[in-house]
Amino acid sequence: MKILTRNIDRPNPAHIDSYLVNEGYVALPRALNEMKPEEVIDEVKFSRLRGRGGAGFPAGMKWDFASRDRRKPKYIICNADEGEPGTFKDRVLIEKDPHAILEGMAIAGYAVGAEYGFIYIRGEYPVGARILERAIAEAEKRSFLGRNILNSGFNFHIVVHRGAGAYICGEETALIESLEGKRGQSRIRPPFPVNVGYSNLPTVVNNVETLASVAPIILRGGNWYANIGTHECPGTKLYSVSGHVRNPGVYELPMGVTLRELVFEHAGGMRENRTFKAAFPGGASSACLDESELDVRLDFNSLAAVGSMLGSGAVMVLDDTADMVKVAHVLIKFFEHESCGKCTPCREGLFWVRRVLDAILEGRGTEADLDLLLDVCEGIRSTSFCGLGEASINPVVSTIKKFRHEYMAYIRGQSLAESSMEEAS
Amino acid sequence: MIRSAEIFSSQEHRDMEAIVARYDSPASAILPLFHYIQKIQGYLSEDALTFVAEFVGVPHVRAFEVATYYTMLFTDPPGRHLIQLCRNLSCHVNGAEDILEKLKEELGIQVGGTSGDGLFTLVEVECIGACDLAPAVMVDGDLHGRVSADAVRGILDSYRGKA
Repeated sequence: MKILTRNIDRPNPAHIDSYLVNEGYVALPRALNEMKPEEVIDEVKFSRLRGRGGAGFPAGMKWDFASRDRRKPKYIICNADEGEPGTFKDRVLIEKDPHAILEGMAIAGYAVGAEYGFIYIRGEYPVGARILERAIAEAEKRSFLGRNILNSGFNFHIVVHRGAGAYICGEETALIESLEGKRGQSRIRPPFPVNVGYSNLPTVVNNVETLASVAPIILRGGNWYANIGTHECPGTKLYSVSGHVRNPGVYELPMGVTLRELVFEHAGGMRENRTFKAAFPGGASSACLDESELDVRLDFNSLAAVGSMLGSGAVMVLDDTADMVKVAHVLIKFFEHESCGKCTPCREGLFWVRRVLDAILEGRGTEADLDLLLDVCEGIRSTSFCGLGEASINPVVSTIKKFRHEYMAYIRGQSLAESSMEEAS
Repeated sequence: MIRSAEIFSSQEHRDMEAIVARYDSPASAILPLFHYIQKIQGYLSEDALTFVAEFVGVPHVRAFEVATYYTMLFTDPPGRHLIQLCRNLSCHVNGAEDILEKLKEELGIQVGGTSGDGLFTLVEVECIGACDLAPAVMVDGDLHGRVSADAVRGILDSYRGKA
């Protein structure tokens, strides 16, 4: 089922004429001419669309909160700071179907009463930023954006704002700080951005994929959308699949596909003569799944139920050649580097977790270090200021739980085979 | 006081005014101005930081703290071409280490260093959103995917010819 990826295989897909062929900019005039803002919000509520950036918060509720705040101006921010390792689905939408994002933003603006939108795109996507700027110019020329859109009296302006390399800016309050020209460090919540956002004014922050889902929902109705995927997590999802699969790429599937189906039926299965070992279903900040969990459904609720998370749908797949201690080390080094430094548990804790992993990898570790790691990780998880710290320890904790024998092999200075035999005896 | 005319042409000054005009709040233009200046001057000099701070009406320290926070901003001049090697998981398990070793060998530098001829600066970066093309390297704005160690020299040569 192709909803989000309906246009990406067209020739010259980013051009406005390619978008218009397939009901592009039909939803926006329908909303402006035939629906009240509340009705647009209701339609998105009926769809039960949940935010695709990772948190899975109902998009209709977010819009509702912002619309009820009377202060003006209000802002719509498209979060295109796609930084979760393993995620590249927004890049595909930005480069291949930018108008779907712009149309979703304009509809969101009409629904909540915002006249200004920002697309905060990560600095590492210079090509995407240029494509978006060209798309905005095309849309303004045809009166789908700008002043008095299609003679409706509604104004909506979009500015593309480039980040400069900081993972934390994908977190919505850090993104807003960065957009205000500051260091990107998280703010305390509440108050939430829907009331106190950019310049302390009501601000809706939605992920690229969430906004690209809006026009189809307005066209076909919320109930149509709600019947796709699972009851709690409707719609289709863009899964970014990478790692040791034969065909890495972005796959659009109904929410709730199993890990097994995604890997073996869509992504071409494992490389030749290799077997599945583990997968991180929601990027670097998710707990890994092992072979016994191949039939877990990849949606917000099912993954939370097994102690992991869907996040942005970044599925990183590993085969039997992967060294899980090195994997945990790579991921913790990432979080150590990206910690913004604001709070102590995350800034100092991740440094020490990495140091202990260094020691284990260098053959200086002891079995007690594994308990030490779990203890420090729990401290980071439970006391960090924002989600970065909270989730950062998942790869370490889950690999210790599920692949403890690999840590033990390093600690005993044995090969994995020798160590496993000792465990078994 | 840094007079704009000392470090920017009048066209550049007009471009920067247009950037600031896109925002209700001038301070929001700090990152876009940094990108603009870095593109024409290669890095953010002390004078450039002072200029931006005055241009948008914030204290100098604010410009400094922003400039030093983000990985893609440089307060010292880098080489002419910036090589960004992804070190995250999907690239790691697909051979990023081999590419790193090859790059260090070809350029005779460590991570963070600039080659003797001033042409290349090598940095490691976090996920650049090209995991389907792992292992991936970005040189300036160009993405190179599924790079093998053998391909490294060819990629470097293609930039050696450029200005």
